[in-house]
Amino acid sequence: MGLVNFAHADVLMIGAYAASTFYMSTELPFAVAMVLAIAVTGLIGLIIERVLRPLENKDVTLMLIGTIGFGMVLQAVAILIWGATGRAVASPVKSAPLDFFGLRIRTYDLVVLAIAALAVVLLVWFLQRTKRGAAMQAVAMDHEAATAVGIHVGRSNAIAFAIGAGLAALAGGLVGPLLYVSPAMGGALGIKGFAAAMLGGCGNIPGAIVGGLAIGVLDSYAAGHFQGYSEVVVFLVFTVIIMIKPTGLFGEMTVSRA
Amino acid sequence: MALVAVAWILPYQLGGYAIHVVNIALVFALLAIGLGLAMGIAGQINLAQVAFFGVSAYATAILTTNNGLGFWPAAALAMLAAALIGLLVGVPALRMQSHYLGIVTLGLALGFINWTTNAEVAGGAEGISAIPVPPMFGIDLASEYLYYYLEVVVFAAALAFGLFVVRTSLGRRLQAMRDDPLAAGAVGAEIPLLRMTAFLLSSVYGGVAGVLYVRLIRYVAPDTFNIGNMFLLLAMVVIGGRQSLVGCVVGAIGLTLVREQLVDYPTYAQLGFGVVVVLMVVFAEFQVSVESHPRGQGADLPPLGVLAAAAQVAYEVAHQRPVAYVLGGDAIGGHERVHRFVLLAVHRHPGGPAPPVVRLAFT
Repeated sequence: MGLVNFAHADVLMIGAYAASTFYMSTELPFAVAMVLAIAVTGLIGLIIERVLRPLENKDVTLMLIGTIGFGMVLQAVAILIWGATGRAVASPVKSAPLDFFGLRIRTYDLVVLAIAALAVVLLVWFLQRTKRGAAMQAVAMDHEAATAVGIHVGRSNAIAFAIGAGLAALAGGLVGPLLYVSPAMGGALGIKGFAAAMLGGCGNIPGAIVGGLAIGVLDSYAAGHFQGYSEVVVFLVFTVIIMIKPTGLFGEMTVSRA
Repeated sequence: MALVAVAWILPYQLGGYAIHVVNIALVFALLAIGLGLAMGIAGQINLAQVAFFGVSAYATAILTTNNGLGFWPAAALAMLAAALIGLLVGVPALRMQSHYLGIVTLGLALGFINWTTNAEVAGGAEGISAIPVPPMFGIDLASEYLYYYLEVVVFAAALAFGLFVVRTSLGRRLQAMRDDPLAAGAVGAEIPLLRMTAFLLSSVYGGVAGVLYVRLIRYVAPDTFNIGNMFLLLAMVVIGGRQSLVGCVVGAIGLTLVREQLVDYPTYAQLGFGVVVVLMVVFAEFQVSVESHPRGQGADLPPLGVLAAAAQVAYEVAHQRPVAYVLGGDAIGGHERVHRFVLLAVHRHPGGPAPPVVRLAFT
């Protein structure tokens, strides 16, 4: 879409809270809770897009600031609804860790991997094989040309936002049992997410996957070797790489070059 | 001149806590000027401003407690450190812009917080406390009232310098770069140099703010420089008006005061700020004109209303890009009188592209 949504991390947080609320308070099965959470956050994504629509394609800086504002609102709303202290979410998969060639892997981690892979496959299929997906890519490439061929840019962006928010909710809900769910959980996760996207190349789905894996591995490696300083290392490495190749490792579809 | 008089006698009017709030507001105003220079004047997204603030604050703290340096040497070195970090952070700006630069600077800011939380010399998560405040020219700076005067002098100088820079050819080149980097480069503006200058200016202001802040609070911890405060600073600059340095100051002081009023409801405050930021951004194209009902002239106008009206007139007269003030409702005057100001009309100039005009009346 050509936009970085700084509220994305907080949308993820709302998704995590929603999923955990549906899962724990109302005793719904985890899958149903996730779907509900995705629906709710998708709605939030639509609202954000609709409010910021006058700014689309006009002033990117203003829109960026607008999303930051929305992020603040979402965080405040989360604190108002769920309180400032976080909550721990029980893992929905209650089985012993698997023993895999000497590595102990939690079953839940495999579930998360599987769902993430499935989501990526679905997204790629949507973008490459459906009309709406192609329309979205067209808008990202050149929104005026897209309008010229009859694509409703506002609606397309709205769907993009909704899908993005839904995926954020999926991520948040899945990561809930792994990490502590709290109003501030968006922060570092979000930045690393953006870093991963940029590293792989914005608008480039395989790049995003590789970027995500790269940041994840780098993060774990740094945590292992540098303990607390892991974030400094990750961001310094990221800065250096991105300066060498601003378009990301795989090249980008839309980037604001210097 | 009236402002100078007001600034001079202000401490005599305020109690101990109030003067502390004013001191904090001035520090944030300095930060806002720096951010305004980088973002509003030069168009560089700088989300590491809190990190510059933090570098200088921590440097001052470490140098005075660990190495036993005096006020002036520590302050000078701290500002130098902030400037160096500013140049370092500015280097990515040579390769990318806009939200990509935002992500990189935000990441570096997070990295800085991460470092301060972990480093031994920085005191970890508990920070450094009991930072000494040596007397300056025989004035005991531990008193908040006297410290206020120091801050006011520094702030006035900083603001004057900032406004001066905007007016010079450097300022014009920065603004040209903001408006159209390609065209600016084509007519000979050195874009990379200008970008580094923007970050350097921003970090110097951050450095000054850091030094003042550390002497004021005498305690420094990682939590002060977190991303939440960065976004708050951003909100100050956006709400005050990005492209006007005075607007940034107004935004900073205004938001600090509002935050103090709402100190018991921090979440609602954050909610409010976020909403106002979104509204500002969406309505940024609106132009506000104020007319006051004849009965409401002079002393009857509420002070806040006068400020708001003056700000609108100033913005209009200076032909800055229109800033959004979505107003309406009641303003409480100095004597608890309620004044209404009414949204008279929102209308577009005939013939399209000009922004809509909002008319207000005070009664």
